[in-house]
Amino acid sequence: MNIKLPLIFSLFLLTSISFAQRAQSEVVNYYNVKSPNQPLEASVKTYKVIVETPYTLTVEELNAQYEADFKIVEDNYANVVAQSETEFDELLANHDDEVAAAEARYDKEMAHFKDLTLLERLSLTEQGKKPKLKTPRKPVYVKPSAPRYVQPNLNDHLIFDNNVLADAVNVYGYEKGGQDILFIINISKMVFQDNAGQTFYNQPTTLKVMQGATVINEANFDTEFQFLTSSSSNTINLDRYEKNNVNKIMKNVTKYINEEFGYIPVASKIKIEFPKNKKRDYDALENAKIKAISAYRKLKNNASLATRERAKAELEAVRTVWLSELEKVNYTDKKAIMNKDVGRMILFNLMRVDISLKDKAKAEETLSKMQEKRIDLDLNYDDKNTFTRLEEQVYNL
Amino acid sequence: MKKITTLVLALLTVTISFAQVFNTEISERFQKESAKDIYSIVFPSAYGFMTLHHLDNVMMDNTKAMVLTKYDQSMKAIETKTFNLPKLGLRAADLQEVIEIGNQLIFLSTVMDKKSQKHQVNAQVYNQKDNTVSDHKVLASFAIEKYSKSGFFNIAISPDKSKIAIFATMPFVKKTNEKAQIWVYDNNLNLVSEHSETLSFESERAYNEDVFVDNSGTVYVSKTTDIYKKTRATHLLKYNGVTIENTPLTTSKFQPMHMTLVDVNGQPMLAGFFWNGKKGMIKVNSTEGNDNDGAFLYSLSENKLIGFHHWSESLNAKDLKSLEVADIKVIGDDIFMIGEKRLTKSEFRKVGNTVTNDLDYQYTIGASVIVNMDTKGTLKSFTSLLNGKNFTNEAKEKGSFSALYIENGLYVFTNNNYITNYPFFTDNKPTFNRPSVRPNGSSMPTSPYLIPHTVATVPQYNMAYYIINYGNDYWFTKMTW
Repeated sequence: MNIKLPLIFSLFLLTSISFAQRAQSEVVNYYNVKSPNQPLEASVKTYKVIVETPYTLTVEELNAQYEADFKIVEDNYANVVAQSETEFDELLANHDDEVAAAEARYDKEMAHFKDLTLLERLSLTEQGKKPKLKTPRKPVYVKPSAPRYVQPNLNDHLIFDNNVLADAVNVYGYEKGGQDILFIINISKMVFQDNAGQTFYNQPTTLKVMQGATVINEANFDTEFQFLTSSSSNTINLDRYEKNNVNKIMKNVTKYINEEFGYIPVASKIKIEFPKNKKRDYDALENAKIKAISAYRKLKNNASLATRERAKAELEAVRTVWLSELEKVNYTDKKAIMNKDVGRMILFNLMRVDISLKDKAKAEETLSKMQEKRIDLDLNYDDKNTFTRLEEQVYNL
Repeated sequence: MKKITTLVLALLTVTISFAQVFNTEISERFQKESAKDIYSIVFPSAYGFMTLHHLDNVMMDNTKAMVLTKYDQSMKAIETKTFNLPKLGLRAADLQEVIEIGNQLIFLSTVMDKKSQKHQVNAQVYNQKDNTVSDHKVLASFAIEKYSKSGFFNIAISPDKSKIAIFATMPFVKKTNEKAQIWVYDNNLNLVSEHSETLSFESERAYNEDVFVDNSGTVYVSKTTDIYKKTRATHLLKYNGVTIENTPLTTSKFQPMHMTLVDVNGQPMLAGFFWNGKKGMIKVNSTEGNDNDGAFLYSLSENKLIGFHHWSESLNAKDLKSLEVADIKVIGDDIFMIGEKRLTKSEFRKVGNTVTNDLDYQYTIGASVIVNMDTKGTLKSFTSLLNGKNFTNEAKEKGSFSALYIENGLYVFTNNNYITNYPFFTDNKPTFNRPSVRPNGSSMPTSPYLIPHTVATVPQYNMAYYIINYGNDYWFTKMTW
């Protein structure tokens, strides 16, 4: 009895493992896209951004200004040195007089000291007050310090490069370089307004979207006064707020452009299931899996619309393979190579791919097929939950 | 590989060349003539300096001696000159201000004498070139009847030291308005203007007043009434050489506390600290200090508060009370103002349970804060500087700090167990080769204390002199960078 029970338990475990090993899966991260509110014509492939700001100061100009100021100081250095040499010459000329004066002073003090009584002299000597000859040291010339150039603190100035601002605008789904579509962003100077001890601001900014000579869209940003801080404007660092606001405006304009015209990538992931193919019984399915994963891997954050179309075509081909393999499934024979477990994997893959492609008609078709085979599939608890979740996604497409 | 090594070496060279290095050289040891002597360094040059020392906190003395000593390039004493502040009757004048202009020191002192029935301001001029002191000149004087009703003198020096203003509040007369007299002198002690007027304030002695004069000679007097009441108000009196105008300075949220006049690129402005008046009355406490809630900048030419900044939440402002403007610098478009808590109290010394006649002075110095504004009054930052410390009597000379703006950073010299240097507003970490001393001829080198108020810079030479101390020994230090 003691030997039989563990043996049965071991056999049961082995059976479970060997059965479980047949279903495998791989999760692929990819970027799906959110469709724009105002899709552009298919012929539009490239874009250009032009940013206009009132900030004309450049680092070069600032450096030039500092260097010019420094040059004045540097040019004057020769005068400073010449003046120091003159002063030193005077000091040197007076040195002998100072030594003579010190000696005369000492002689006078000594004469006075000698006139004192012995007791007074001893007392003064003990106090360290006996006259001493203190002659000044002959001065040694010290050259004034040469001026040193100090770099300007760029944080103290409003410096923006319009090209850098323009380069930071990325329109998803299109490529920079051409001029199929032109985005012109015009930012004005920030205006601060005090109201009841609080500071409000506006910084009117316009966006013009042009296709050729036609303005196809126009939008305004930060035109109305908005709350900035609960302090009055003379208590805040205006330049710092203006710098931050320009960056905020650029962020908002970029977001607007992408929502209206771009294909905003959305981070997504998909699970592709496949059977273990040790005996090479499922070559077609393994091949389909490899192609599907490869197609999804093409869908990067910055994938162009053409790349996305190519990936979609590849997934359509994979879909055809899965559908043909699905025909081979024997839902009643557990031992069949293409048994119900393989059928479940194919159906889940089809549903996930249909949902990812946002193809509602095909997704509903696949859903219908799966619903028909629900009894034969005999889904476990987890699979039932997965099915419900996917079913909801299909209805929400 | 060779390129990388060259690049690294070049990078190191650049880094080293920008790092600030402070080197120090010390003089022979000396000792003060009296522990109560207070020293300052004047006429600093690349070839030596002079010291001025006199007794501090000495009461009822009929002789107030000023001792000037000349030191050569090797910081050796060469010559000493002693002279006394003028006397009125039997009383020697009290030193109020020493102004250093070119080769001259102007000693401003005040004295009053019941017998002569006078209260006056005297000036004596020391000339460094011929080592002489002029006879004293009476700059301002008014009659008094007794010491208890002797009026007040307030003396102000303009930022460029070209003008001296004396504002006198006449002796208190019950149920009358305050009488004031103003004298403005140039730095050659020529009278520029004089004016007397009965102000609209009651003749009480409780008025708290500060006097400022700008480079053009316009005098500003801030007078605060009802200091401890909810109705506290500060008025700004402006004397332009002809008339006095009165402008209210306070608002419901702004009660200026300690402030100073600063010349901001040609514009006179008041900079200081304020109480926000939110509480019913200001918390005035001689131990903790008076409330301060932030820093301000007031344009005198526009009569407008252009900077009004409450302490930021990130600043530990718990001990930022009774702040005085300890230092203010205008560098380009930046204003660096350092506020320091300063409290003084005195009490008779106790020996056991017996109270003696000797007074002990207790000083609280710090906490302190650096306020960085631009010249438009916009706040750039608040930076905590030093924590508060207590000092008794002569030990106060080790308190506080001295700030030097060098190239692109503010370097604060102070004591933290010993002489220390802290850099601000710069990424450069300076190398401070601090002085090392051997007190009493000891063989063990020791890091000394700095006497911060003695720091004197030599313009155009990247050089400064200051005094350091350990025990009873003192040394002069020449610092170069």
